[in-house]
Amino acid sequence: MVRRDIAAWGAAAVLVGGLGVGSAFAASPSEHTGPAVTTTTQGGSDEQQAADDVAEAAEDVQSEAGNQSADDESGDTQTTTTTTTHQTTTQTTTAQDDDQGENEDDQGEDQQGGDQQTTTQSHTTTTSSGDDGGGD
Amino acid sequence: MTLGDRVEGLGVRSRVLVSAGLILVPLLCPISSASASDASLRASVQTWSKAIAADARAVSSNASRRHPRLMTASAVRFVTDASRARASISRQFASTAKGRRAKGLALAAFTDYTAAGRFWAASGGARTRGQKALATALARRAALFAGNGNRYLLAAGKALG
Repeated sequence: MVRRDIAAWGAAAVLVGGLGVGSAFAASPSEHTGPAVTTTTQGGSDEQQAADDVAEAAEDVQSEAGNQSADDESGDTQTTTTTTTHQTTTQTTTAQDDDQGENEDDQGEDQQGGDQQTTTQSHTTTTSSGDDGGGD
Repeated sequence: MTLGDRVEGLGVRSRVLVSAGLILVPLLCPISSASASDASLRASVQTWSKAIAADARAVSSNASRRHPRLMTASAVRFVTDASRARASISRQFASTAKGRRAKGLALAAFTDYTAAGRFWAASGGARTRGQKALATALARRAALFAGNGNRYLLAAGKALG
């Protein structure tokens, strides 16, 4: 009976000790070796990469907006051909029309609803179609 | 001292250890969960940073190829992802002061990215309609928001360590 008590208490002590050690390691992830350090470094680079890409996009859009040369219509007009392929809902068709650039603000607000996923899919299809068609 | 006495002595010591452990566990567990929630926040910021970066590359590519309609579509996708990022990060729980600060910065970053994307989309629409002066002005506004968003995102990344 006493031995069983000792075994039970010992197991509980080991469990508690393990939790304590685990907590101590979790509290200081920077002291981990290998994957934890890699994750931290990767995280910083992810944000830096995003910032670089966004900055480049801003620069490109700004320079092209002021560019007086004509747009590449052959590559850009491919987007209209996919309109009939989306037959899910009426709202999807409406969102597809927005791809043409008339109602950009509506797109930003639409994304809160459940229909937004469908809208996003529409844009994805449209973009890839256009890129394949005449972008290159 | 008999064997029975020794066993009794060990039992008492074990009980003391267990009692001490039971006192320490509630103290240590919050540290663990706080780190876990900050790690989760960091993972979320990283994931959405990648998504935003991919969208930005699409915007950049379409703009440089002079495809304003495609650029508008990419910008709309950028807005969508930035809004989803904002919603996702706002649901994350940050329990440390650093984590809360990082969360605020990340939310500010994706809010500015949403605005930048909307201006990009509007700029693409204006360019499509031949309103080049308006397109330029809108692109300039977008660049301001994009710059602010970048600063906030990098600060959030540093805060999350």
